[in-house]
Amino acid sequence: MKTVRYLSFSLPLLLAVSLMLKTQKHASAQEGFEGLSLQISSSQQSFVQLEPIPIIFKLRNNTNREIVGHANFRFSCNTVEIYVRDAQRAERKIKQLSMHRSRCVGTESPIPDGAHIDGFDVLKLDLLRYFDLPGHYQIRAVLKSTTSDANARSGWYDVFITAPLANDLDALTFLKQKTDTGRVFTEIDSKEKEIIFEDFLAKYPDSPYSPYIRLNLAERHTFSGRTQNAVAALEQLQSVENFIYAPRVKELLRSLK
Amino acid sequence: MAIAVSAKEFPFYKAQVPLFPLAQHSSDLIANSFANTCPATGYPFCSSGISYNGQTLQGTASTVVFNFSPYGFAQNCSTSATMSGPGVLETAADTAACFERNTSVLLESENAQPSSVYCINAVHVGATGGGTTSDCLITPGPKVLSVNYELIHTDDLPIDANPNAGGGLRIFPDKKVPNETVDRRRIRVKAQYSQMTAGIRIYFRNFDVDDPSADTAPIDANDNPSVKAGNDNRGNVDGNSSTKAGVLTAPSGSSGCQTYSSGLSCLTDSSGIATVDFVVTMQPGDNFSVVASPDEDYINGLALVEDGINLGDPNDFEIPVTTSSANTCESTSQKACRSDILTIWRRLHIEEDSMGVVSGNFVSGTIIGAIQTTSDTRLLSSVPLEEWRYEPGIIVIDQIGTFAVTDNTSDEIVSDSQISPEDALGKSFVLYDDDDYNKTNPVIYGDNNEDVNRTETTFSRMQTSDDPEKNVFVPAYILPIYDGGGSLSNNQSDIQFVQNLNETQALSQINLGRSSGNAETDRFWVIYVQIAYQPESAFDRDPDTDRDFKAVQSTLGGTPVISVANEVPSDCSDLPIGGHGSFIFQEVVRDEFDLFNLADNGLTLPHEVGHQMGIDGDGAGQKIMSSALDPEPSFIPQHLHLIRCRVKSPGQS
Repeated sequence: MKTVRYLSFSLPLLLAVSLMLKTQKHASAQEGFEGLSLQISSSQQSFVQLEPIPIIFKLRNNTNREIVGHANFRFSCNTVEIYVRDAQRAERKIKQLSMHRSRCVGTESPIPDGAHIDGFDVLKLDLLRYFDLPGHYQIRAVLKSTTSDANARSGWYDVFITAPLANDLDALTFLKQKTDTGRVFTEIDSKEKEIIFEDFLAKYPDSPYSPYIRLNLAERHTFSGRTQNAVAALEQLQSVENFIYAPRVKELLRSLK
Repeated sequence: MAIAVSAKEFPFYKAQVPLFPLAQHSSDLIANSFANTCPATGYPFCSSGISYNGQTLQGTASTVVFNFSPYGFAQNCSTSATMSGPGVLETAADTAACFERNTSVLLESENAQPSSVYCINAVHVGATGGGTTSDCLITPGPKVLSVNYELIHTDDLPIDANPNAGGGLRIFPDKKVPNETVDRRRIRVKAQYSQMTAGIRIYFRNFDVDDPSADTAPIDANDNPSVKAGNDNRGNVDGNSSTKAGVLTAPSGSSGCQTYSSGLSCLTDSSGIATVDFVVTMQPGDNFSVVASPDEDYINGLALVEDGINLGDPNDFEIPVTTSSANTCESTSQKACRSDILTIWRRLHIEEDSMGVVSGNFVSGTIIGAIQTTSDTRLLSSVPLEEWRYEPGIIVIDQIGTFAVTDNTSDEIVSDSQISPEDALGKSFVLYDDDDYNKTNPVIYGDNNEDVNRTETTFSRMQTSDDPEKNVFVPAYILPIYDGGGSLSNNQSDIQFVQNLNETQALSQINLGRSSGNAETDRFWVIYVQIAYQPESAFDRDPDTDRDFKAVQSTLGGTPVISVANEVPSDCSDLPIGGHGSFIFQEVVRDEFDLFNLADNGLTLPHEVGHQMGIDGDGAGQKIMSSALDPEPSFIPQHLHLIRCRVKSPGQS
């Protein structure tokens, strides 16, 4: 839990402070963004083919001055670019990171010297296009300023893609046969998809793909008012080790209970 | 009759200044074009001219060197000329010592025929140089007076003035309603002949004229600032690029129409009107003109001139235009008449839903602990709270009262009011944040029980208007139509309320309301908008202010997309699909604009519609598609080009 310094400001004072920050943003938004240090990592380094790849961002201000910036790591805000290169060092920018576009605004504010901000999102679209063969890949992220052309760039991060074996191979085959693998981990928005993925989870409950599919089904159940089904799915996800969406699982469970 | 006229007889014998152009035409019945290769300055002065007074065709040419030729003692100067045209061929020459006099010729004929082109071509030799000149005219005669468009299916928006660059006329060739079977791309073109005579064959020819809205890529890739070219339409009629200029066809039931090398010809009726059908393309901003003439050879020789819009013949006569104000070609002496420019506009049909009544936008629990300090009161909640969400907000404590909330953690509520801990302990409470999406509530109760609707400004930049201030899609030749996407009954105002809509449920939420999906076709574009409340809690601007250096994150609108791009090639290949629908998070829009005291909160909707149409956006410098809070309310050229390339309804593949 975050440590909170309680404020005793009145509402008008808070607004005034905020407006001052806004003024400050505009004064310095054009400089310094590239001075932020961006690092990326993942929850693991080895992934089975088609397994979603979490990208964990760490943005740091290692300068001795305040820098106006943002930490919009969410792919739908469209402020992050991800580049992939394979063993032959052929570098490609991932064309589409999210199935959503959000008008994310008002997010640039002063980042103090020494501060660091963490966040994450997950590569889950077109994975077989960019990580088509088992092997060694490298990933780099670029965080774009929302107000200028300045960027903060990370170094290359190594990931290893392995071929699925045994049951995982069957799971991959199932997904290839019955779904659009480029969009398999996106929102389940129809009964037909629900049935396919329920079938998948029944057959391959422990595959590397299953936690993501189970969470999507839980979201679908939640939206449809099938609380019991949603809770059951979410409770299963609580035991998944190192699951990047654990906070979302917790939040959904809290709201449902 | 050809005469070589001596300087003494010719009126400009004493001329001390060049007489160029020589012929001053007294009547506007005669059109001329000039060409002159003589030096622009210095001597000799060369000139030629041709005129017609209704009876006599007269050509003159002269070379002026007299009094200005110190070098010409030993050489001859001369003027020779030929006047030609149907039934006329006259030549003459005049030669004299350069120091003696100027030379000139006068050519006359009474054999001129109506509606014919006559030219004089002269060769000039002076003491220090020479060159050629020419002049042409078209004699008056029967002709096409006007070329006009008419709708075949008149139960629709009329052909009216195009408000965009280049003016002219506009047409909406798309479907008015989803299921209609009429083809509104097909219109009628009528040429009015100057004589009310049936059976005169009129030749029609269509052109893809220059896009006047830009002179550079990506909007108009075949132009540059000095050369403008037509043949730049994005669409075509039948899948072949050869039909980019539209297609002329014989009207149903007509007889006597024939194709010819450049188009289609049809016969006049007893009113002197010849009629053809014209099928236009569907891409917004595509534009056309149609020219008509009784002279097949003449119309075959026409071409777009340097401005890419007007037409000229081989003698550089510019073809007059049927203006909407005069409804006739401006010059009455011509061999052809063209229509005004006709530009394609598209309708964007809009289905608009809104979430139902706000409910559950509060948290209730019991106060299980309380302490009072000199500056505030801290209350311990029995239920978990979203950190900071309720600052500023209010807490209603059972039997005690209502108090402002200045802060909250995951389990603690802070108020700067003095609340007796003894009284508060064990009491139930309800906690509200500051939500008031339409600013109508004198006391903030989180909008509970209030219906979610558009506000006055939600659609302020996407009105059914030709004013770019009110409709940012005007430069893309698009007009929003609020018809529910084909039926007003599609619009629903009670879609399931979701307090914080997560991206992972966005498509499902859209599917709850979207009814116009089956109406969408290439000729009936539909976008879907759902007026929603808030996005997921991390992006809903609750709390209002920064609580740490991470900044407050806000999402004003959201659009699930299938594929998007920032630019597409000039041939419109590789078009992105876009998306099916968008959300406008009305309460966050209110929060943001209140906080920063901004006036224009109508920009979120066109931004999201831009995503539906396949625009990636959200980058710096992308105007309305950028993620700036107060961006310039217009599209960048790359995005305009992409919109104008769209064939499918947004979201359709």
